[in-house]
Amino acid sequence: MVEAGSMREGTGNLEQLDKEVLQCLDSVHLLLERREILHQTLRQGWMELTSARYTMGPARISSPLFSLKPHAPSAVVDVRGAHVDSTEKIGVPELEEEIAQVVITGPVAFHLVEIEQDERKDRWEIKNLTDDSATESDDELTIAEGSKDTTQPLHWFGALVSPHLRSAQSNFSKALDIVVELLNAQSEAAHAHGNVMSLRRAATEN
Amino acid sequence: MYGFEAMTFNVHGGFLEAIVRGYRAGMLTAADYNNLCQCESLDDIKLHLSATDYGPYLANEPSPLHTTTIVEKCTQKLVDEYNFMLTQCSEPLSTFLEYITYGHMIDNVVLIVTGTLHERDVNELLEKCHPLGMFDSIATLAVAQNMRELYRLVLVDTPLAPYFSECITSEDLDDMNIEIMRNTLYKAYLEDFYQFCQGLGGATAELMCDLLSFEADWRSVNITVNSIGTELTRDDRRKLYSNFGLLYPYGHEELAVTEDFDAVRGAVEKYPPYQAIFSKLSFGESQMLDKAFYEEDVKRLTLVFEQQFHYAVFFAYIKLREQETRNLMWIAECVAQNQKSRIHDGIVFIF
Repeated sequence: MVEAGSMREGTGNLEQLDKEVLQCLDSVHLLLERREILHQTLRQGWMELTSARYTMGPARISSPLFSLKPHAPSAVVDVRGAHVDSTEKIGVPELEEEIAQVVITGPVAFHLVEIEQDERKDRWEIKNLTDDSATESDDELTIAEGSKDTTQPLHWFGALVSPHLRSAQSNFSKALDIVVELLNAQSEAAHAHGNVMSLRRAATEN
Repeated sequence: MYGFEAMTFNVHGGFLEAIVRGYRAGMLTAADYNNLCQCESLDDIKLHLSATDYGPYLANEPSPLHTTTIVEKCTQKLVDEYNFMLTQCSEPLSTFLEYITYGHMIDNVVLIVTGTLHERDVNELLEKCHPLGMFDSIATLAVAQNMRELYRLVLVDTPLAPYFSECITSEDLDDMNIEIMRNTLYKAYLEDFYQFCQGLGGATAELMCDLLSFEADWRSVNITVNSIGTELTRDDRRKLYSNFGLLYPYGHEELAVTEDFDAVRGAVEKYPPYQAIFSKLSFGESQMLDKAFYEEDVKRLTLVFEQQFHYAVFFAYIKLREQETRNLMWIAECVAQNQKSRIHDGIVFIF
């Protein structure tokens, strides 16, 4: 009976290990896919920038035209240390500090939020402390939309720019989004790999 | 109608026409471009160019080479040739040659003003200015806060002064005002150059008026396409179009109200010379419009050399050299970015 019980437990661990290995492979596949898309997007962006320099002239699109004026970012995320009694670690696996409060500021809105992770560690609850409302969110943090007063880099090169330059800007903006997705995929892959290694160790010990 | 240029042109202009035709013979051919397209690195490009007229300019450049260096040296060669011709000529050719540089002067003024607005160092901006458009007090542009000051402090003593009458305001300089100023100045410059060439008469007037009309029409299309989706109003857009050219005035009326590329195509295709250009593009495609216009421009510029005893060869030579520089820049960028599949998208063969 004891042997049957431990066999069932071993089988369960192996099934869990299989599941984690598949999860890890899926994460790695997503990571490689995102890297390839990022590479293609950046190549396209640089080519469009070259086309814009071909049309408008190299002097009109060059680094001395970048603005050195300070401008407000669209949002700021300030990650602070814990302010609650709980010492449970939450947040992205790479960060060592405990994250209990994230201050999100934008040019027009100010939100003080508290992020708590539930027991399954795969959902975030964002509680807006400024008005005590709480909204549940899946694994993404929603940041307040920025003000329209933020600087438009396209205007550094003139108000009437070539469509190639606009296309280059949209490619580079898309690349930024892909970089965020890539980092998330990398984080998930590392997390899944860690799970696989710990389950393997547990399976070996059993 | 032509005058008796064949009898009198060579007295003052014969030597320089021979010089410019000699320069024209040194331009890159299709075989040169084919060799350059097969280069694997910028040093290979430098090796191939060493056997051309650019050889002495690139010979002493250290590796690794940059695309900006190639563009600078090509431009330097053009500037040296231009300065040689300017120092050898007499009136009215000297005025004609100076007119060719006023476009670069306008670009330099806008570059300095824009860079100063963005709090850049003036010395850094001066390095990026086109050598053909430099003038003595250009660095003083950095102190102006609006167009009135710009004119009063600096530009009143430059050849651009007559072109400022339409755009002097006390509004502070911002991105849109600067762009409107650029295009208004260029419009006034083109109209002035057009009238000057008409005054010269003969083959110069006929050929130059055709070339300048094409340039004015091309600028109108460019302004329209670039202003789609921006804050530029229809009235402001209409004011930036030149008052001559094939599209003036009815084509401009249609272009002023277009809101997308297909509407631009519909407005311009009615004119047979431009129908040929747009026939190379599929519907909705605007990416290759610039190359199509450059090809048409190069075709007209090369035909100018078929006639003698006129000044248009000087204008054509400078414009063709600028196109050659653009070709070399494109090739160098494609090689540097390892995008050889796109290398033929930007090359406009000249001869």
